[in-house]
Amino acid sequence: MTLRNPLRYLDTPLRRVNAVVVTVALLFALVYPYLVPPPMVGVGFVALLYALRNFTWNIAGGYVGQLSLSHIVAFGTGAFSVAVLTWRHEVNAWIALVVGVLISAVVGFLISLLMSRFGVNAFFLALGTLALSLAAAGVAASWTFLGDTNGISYSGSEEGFAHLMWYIDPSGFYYTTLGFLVVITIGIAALMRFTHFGRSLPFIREDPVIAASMGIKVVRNQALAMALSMGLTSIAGTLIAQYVQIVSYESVLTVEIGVAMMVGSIIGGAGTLAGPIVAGIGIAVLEEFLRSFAVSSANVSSYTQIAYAVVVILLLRFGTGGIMPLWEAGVRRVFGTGRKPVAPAAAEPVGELVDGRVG
Amino acid sequence: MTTLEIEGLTVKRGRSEVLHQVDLVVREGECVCLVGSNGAGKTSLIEGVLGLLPTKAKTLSFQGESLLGVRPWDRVRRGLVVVPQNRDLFAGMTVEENLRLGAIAAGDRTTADTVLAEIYELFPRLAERAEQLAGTLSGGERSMLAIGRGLMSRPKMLVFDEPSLGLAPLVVTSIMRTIARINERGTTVLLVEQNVHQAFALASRAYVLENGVIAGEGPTDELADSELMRRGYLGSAATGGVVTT
Amino acid sequence: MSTVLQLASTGLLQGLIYSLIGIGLYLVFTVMRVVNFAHGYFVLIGMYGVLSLEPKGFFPFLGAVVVAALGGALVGYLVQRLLLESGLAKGGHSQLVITLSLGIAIQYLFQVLHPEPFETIPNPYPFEAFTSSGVTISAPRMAAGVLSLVLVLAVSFLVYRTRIGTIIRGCSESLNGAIHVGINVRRVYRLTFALGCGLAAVAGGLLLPIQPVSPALGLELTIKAFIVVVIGGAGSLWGTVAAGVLLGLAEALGSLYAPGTFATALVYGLFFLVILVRPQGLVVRAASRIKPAETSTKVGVG
Ligand SMILES: Nc1ncnc2c1ncn2[C@@H]1O[C@H](COP(=O)(O)OP(=O)(O)O)[C@@H](O)[C@H]1O
Ligand SMILES: [Mg+2]
Repeated sequence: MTLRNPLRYLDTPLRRVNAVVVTVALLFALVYPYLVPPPMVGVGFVALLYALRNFTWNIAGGYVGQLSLSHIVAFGTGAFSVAVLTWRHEVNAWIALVVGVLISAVVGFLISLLMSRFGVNAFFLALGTLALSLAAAGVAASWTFLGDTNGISYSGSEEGFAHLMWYIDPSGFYYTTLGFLVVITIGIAALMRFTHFGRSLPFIREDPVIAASMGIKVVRNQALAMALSMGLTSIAGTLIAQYVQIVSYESVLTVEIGVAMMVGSIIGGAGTLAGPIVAGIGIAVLEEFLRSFAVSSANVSSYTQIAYAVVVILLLRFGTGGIMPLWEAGVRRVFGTGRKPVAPAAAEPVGELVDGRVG
Repeated sequence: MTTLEIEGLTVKRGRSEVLHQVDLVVREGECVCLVGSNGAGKTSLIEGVLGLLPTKAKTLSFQGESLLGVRPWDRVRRGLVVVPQNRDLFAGMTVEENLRLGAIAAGDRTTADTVLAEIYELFPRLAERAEQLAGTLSGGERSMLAIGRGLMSRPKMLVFDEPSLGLAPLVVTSIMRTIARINERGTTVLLVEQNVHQAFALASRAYVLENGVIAGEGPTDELADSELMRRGYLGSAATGGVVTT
Repeated sequence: MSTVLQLASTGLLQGLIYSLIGIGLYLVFTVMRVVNFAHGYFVLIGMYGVLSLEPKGFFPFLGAVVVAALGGALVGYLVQRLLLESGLAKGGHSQLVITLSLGIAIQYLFQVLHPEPFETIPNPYPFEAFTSSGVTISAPRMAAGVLSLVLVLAVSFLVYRTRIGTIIRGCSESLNGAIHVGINVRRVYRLTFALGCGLAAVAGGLLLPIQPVSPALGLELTIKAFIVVVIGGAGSLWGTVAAGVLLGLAEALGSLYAPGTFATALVYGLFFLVILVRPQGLVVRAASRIKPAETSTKVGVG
């Protein structure tokens, strides 16, 4: 039905407003490099990269509720695969990208499977995946194959889309990342809407036991979502490696990257489609804004980290679901709902601290 | 004087309302029972009264003072003590530690030793096992310990949530006799049970809870002969032994 | 041989500091079931607290440690009261993300305030070093180990032998049980969180003369605290203490055989396996046997 007449989808004011906003944003994103000087195109690339990174984390972290920090490993894998294969051994960058995706996906699948197999709860999942990422950083720091403490620097001479490399003008990186972001977003949206697998994910997040009793293959779907999520995160790692042309354990295997993905998704609205993208771009803009105050560049990242943390703490403390739910509520207030609202998915909060049985 | 007065009590579990507009009164020194089948909302009523679940009520007062807005632990300190259905013991601590914790917040510290001696007299079994970990006790002993812990603070009123649950018939009889003694010594009792025969033998008045509403109430001897009890209730639920969640 | 002995003594003393950091996290973890990802950053608060007080001499140093501890406890109290408390009943994992973010915020706050890495203070103790049978231990290291041990014993006394300790253990055994006996669990939670953070800050103060402080140290210490608590298990405080000493020894002796970063990677990898296989801890069984023999509570105290 939606396929026959796409306009039928635009049946509520919220959807109409969102459609306009998305169209304008996309058009703006397309012409942006022509409006600004090249350094600002670089900023645009970074913003899109943050968006991509948050979005891919959100697949497992937001939709399924697996608060994973093993995405650090995925990001690092994407970066190191291009560094090792392309820069050292002159394999085509796109092949390296695919290799990174596959390795990350397999790692993600196995981690999720292991964690489920041993019945690890969310706290230990976060802790365990953090330990794993730190172990990976330790290995990278002491293994010359991964550049040990010196890192691996770019070497090569070819340029262009086929080699995923542009030396002077960053708009190649910009458009490639935009392309990935658009394709992945549409793909995930379709997956969530039209496939049995995608539709099962929110049920797993709400209550794995009930989901299992509904006949959903919880363990398998969790593992698949994790594989998809980490595999796609690896793409962001590859892109940033090509862009900065140096990869070391300190630049791509840090806890801050994992926290940024997690927190970025939560700020935007975990489990929403647009939230992680909006938050990623917002953070990049914030960084640029701080820089324009002539804050020293070391301090820019400090301040953005603090800002990240403070925003997410306030969001969680005051129980709002992030930017997207706020936006939706705002649009509904201004334009009306256009129809009876669907029952909210979130469980009603119990005011008391004390009921151990509800929590 | 009324000890516990409930008027228009509504209790929610998660999103669903499990208790609707319940009225219930327990007067000082009384032994009242509340019966209802599995899932009727008995535990929810108790947890609502204690403030463990979100509630709405026109009146909810204890010894003439409103409990609305009072924290659960402060309700306990005022003398409204519950012996919970799943006992909620401190499994990794000894029987004596459990009992002493019963008096730690609400009780008068100087009388703790006296009360402890009384409880050991009431339940000689607990005295024998004073140094045993609560988690290793049998079902009957756990029930005794939960009751003993509840008594440690010398409460004005004790609410028993299915004290017979999962116990052998002989043990049930002994527990019920103890509850009668506790009531005789002046503690007001609200006994919540599925086991109608045992409960009615003990209590002077009864309330019947069905699907979250009070379906009937009255003196136990009248209620036992009533149409309500004969028709549906005694037949299905009084068989007992059903494990509630 | 004397190298091994030297390393073992250093490791043992370092391990006692880990034990002290670990029991702070252990208390919060077992009582409130909150995984405080900011715990190591409270150690950092202690370190930077003492650093910025610039104590000269032994007694000013002790004073600075006490002040830093109180500061850490106060921050912890406020964090629990203002940020975590409301999320406890809601379920979900807001505390996890909040404490993780809090840690990051603290780290970068110190990054802005103290951009210089590896700051430290001179030896505040009136001795230089102790030497015996070929083993030399510097005064700050010896003192930090001994004071940590004293504090660990004091905390275990508090937890197992006092009225407030009984209440704390009651809350950790059964939250509902605690409410049914009239314990104000909200207040117990606040105090426990403050105590845990205060202990972390004390450990930080004691650590400062031995280990120069950088903002990035917070994460490492958080992970180490988790390693200690997870390996020690939720059974008894002594499991955590034992695991702390074990970690200190393993770290020191491990440095003999493997280069720094790889050894760390190995520790994290092993930790991952422990989480998979035994989230309830490794030491717990052995430790529960060391429980104090006389556990009856002193109701009259306090
Ligand atoms: N943890 C829970 N969450 C949601 N609903 C519950 C929960 N526990 C019980 N219920 C529901 O609440 C109703 C009342 O339960 P309860 O008060 O335990 O009844 P009783 O104690 O009479 O057996 C039942 O319909 C039950 O299904
Ligand atoms: Mg019940």
